Amino acid sequence: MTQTRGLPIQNDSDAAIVARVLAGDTQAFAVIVARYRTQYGRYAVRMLGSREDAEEALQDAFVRAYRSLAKCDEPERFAPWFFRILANRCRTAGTRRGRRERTFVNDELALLGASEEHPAERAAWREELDRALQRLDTDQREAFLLKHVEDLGYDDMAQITGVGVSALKMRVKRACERLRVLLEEVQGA
Amino acid sequence: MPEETRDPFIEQIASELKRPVRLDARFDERVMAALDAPDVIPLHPAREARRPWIVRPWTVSVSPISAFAVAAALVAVVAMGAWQLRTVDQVQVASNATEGGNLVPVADVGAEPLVVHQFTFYATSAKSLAVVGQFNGWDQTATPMTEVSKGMWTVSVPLRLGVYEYQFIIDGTTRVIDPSMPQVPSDFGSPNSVVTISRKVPQ
Repeated sequence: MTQTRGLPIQNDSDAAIVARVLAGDTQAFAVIVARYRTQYGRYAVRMLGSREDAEEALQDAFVRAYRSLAKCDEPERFAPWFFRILANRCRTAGTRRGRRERTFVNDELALLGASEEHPAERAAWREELDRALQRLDTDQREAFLLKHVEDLGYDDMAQITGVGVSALKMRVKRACERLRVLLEEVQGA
Repeated sequence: MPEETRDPFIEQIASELKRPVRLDARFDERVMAALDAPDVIPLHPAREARRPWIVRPWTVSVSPISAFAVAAALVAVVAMGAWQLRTVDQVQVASNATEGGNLVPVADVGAEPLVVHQFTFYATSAKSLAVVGQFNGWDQTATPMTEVSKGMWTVSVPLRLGVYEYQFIIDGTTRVIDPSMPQVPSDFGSPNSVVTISRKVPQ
């Protein structure tokens, strides 16, 4: 079998890279990892509330995706397929973690906001926001993040979660209500 | 239920949560290293070919006469193996499939015997059937099944001891599970069937 190696493939489509990996060029998978780690890393961090747990779930998702790449029936739609795997891993990790004390990522958020006006206030607000987010039920947190942070439509959310659109809408609604109560409590304190 | 109307409070929260996060600088490196772990199943024969020759499966070409001789020898080995199973009770091979005990011992090399497992599926209207699973990289062209009688499809696959997830594919498009076997949830919504290839025979 002839294989093309060493060519720049950063701009190739997901389908082209998947085909390349399946043809034996395993290193091409690094392009996929680099392409999606930031976007999906953010989702994992928000879901799990800890960078360490998020990296573990994200790495696990990439390995599972790689292992099942031949099962990706529509490689041109690799991203939603991968997102489904990651969402599952985050749910599993969240369940496994249980009531273990969560480590928030506010050090990072504070660092990113250091150049802003009133950085201490911003950092405190982000800390409360993260805390409130982690106090949501996993299902509600997942639905809220998919809808309002990842900006997905309900049909896409249904595909990723395997949950019906009506139930997802209800989860988003309840998540919004709960966040409002939790954060207003803080602001009013 | 109508779509949510714009809510400045929620938008403020969302905007905050959309801020990027930084992962460990060596994250990509760690993922790529994890792909080389021994339990990560090869994707494709092309990748197999890049493995060291000592751990790579090999193909032997034989003439028809030699093939007949080899087949006869294999039958003898199988027969002896079966005889040993009953007398010495050493290597026992089992299936948690339904009746019939459709596992046949082929060889016992060291600690990892190779066992032929027969997958069976009943589908009267199918034009083609294949089994896909962890043992063939979920490749739907790798293990086609044969219709041995009206609607009864089978294929025999040599497997190492272990637990394998699998599905059947009807006419190249429809994925179905094996209703006679245990199921586990998969990352893709639908469940997978599970077969356990073990040494123990059910009592």
